[in-house]
Amino acid sequence: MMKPLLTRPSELEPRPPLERLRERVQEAMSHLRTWGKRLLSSGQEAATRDAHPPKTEAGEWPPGQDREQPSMSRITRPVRSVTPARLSQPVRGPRSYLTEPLGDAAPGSAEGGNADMAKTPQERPAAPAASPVEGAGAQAGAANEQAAQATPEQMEETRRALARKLLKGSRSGLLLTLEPGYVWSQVLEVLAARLAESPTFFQGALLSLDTRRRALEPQEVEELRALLAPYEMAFKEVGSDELYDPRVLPSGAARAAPSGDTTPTLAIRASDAANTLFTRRTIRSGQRLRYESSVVIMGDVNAGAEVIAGGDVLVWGTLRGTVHAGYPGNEEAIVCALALAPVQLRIGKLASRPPEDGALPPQLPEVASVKNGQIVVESWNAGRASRR
Amino acid sequence: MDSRVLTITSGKGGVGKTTTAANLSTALAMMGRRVVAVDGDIGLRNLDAVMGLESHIIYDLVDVVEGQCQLGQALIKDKRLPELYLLPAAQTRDKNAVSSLQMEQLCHQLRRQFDFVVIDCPAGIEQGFRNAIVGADEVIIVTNPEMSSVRDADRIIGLIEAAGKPEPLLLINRLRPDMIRRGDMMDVTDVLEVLNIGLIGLVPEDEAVIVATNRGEPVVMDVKSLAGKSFTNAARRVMGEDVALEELDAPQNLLDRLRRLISPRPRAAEKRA
Repeated sequence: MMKPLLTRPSELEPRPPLERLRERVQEAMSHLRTWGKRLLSSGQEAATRDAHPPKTEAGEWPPGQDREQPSMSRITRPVRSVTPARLSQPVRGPRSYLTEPLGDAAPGSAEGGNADMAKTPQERPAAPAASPVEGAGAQAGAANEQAAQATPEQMEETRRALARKLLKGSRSGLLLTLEPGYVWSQVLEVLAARLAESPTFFQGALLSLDTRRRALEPQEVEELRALLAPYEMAFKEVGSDELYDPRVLPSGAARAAPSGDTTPTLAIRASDAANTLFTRRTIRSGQRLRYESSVVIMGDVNAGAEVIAGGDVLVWGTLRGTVHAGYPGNEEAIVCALALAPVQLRIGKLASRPPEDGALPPQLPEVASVKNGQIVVESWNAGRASRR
Repeated sequence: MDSRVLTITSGKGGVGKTTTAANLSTALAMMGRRVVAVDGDIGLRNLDAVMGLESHIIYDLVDVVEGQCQLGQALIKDKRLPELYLLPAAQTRDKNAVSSLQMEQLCHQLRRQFDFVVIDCPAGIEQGFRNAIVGADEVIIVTNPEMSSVRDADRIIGLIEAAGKPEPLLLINRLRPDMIRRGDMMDVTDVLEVLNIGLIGLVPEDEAVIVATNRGEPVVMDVKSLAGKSFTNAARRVMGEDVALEELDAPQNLLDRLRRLISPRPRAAEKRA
């Protein structure tokens, strides 16, 4: 539950007696004015009504208090108070959104409301044919298995986290990214688990290895080959933006002969999500789009609309509504839009709202992500370097 | 010629649906078409008062739907125009008195007798709204150039799309060019940026509307009023005519021109959509 931002009037300090006196005088004046008006007007019944002012609901006046009408001046306007710790000053460049953690009961979980949206046939997981950057050699489908729900076990959690970072779906199969810190046995374990999840799917597929940061030892190559043999999977090494000719070796790495695929392929780093929802429509107020992985919306998200995605949210248009990326707990998710002006922005378990200095958001594409436990918004160009 | 059923809706209350429905019907009838105005706001009927026909009501829409009278008995001919009729709502019932199916059948019946069926939709998104759009061929959304009504209009557009109706048209009502100039009010482009549908009319804020409502005479009959002229233009656009969009900020008279000469208009400040 978001911490309430409005202070109750009772929490405010009692006002000084001078002010109270002033209020009493004002009340008396307003009474005089009303009486004067009523005397001048012709309404006799109004005068009689005033002679017997209405009692309080209790039926009896509390002892010692004056018989008076409650005046509007008594009702104090609640003051918006934000604890300084949470308030981050908006800075030029990256804008820190006022971030607060969401409770466990994050809204957006099962509610009675209907989405009112007809899913047209156009909304389908991003098919392999969609990407224009691909090289010619197309292997079987891009989707890899979505990481299953997190289990309570800690080890399972870390393994899943590793699996997410390590293995990604690419157009031609799986992409394995090796970082210096990884333990090889764990890598193999994760890979084996993933392959075992859907053996027939990976049959004959291609495993691309990103070994720019950490090369493979010859023994490791052997182990990998052994693991992949029952699936008849081939693997080869790639740099992420280079055309790779399998006949040419990057230095220091072992090579494996790809099974029948000799055309160079670009290994595209697909996002974590297995299936991305791609839709070309504007999400109107009152509509809710829920999806388990990433969402690309070519259109606006209007105020009053909600987008809840398990992965990233990309709005090719103006984002004015509420968006929750990385639901329920993935804080690596990002939200980008051509014009980012949401009512509320949530990533993982953090919720935030735009800075209240009243400045209009800049009219350039921006990206929101979590940095140091806070949601930060920066222009797309500035934020790009830090992104994988 | 094919009959057309137009529903005037908005989502938000008080933006001018009944005024628009009354004036569009009257303007279309003034152009020679056979028009019936249907009040869909059961329980809070207003269309009869705006058209000045409240004392002529014997039977109403709920009576027709429940079979207590014939449709012809409930239709009220307008005082001034021979081709304009009104089907009033009931005041003593509420919106659950009529179902969507009944409303659809009623629209079919009316379509056979009239060129235009203009339905005044109640505020909200519940049964009253659903009844009003079920028989519609075209929907006109009325909105004011301010935040809450634009947001509600957006919601309505979503519901209309979900109901499978064609894309609605927009009529922006109660525009105040002086406020727009100062940057205190959303202007037409701001509204269209959010709603992104076609525009069919721009109507300025005009005291003549209030006077006309109280008198029971639709403002299109007042030739001097700007709002009346705008509603007439909107009706012409509904008929398919290509009418240029109103220049609402044009100087009204010599004094206005002089005033603008002396102090030219400031640039519109940045606005928050």
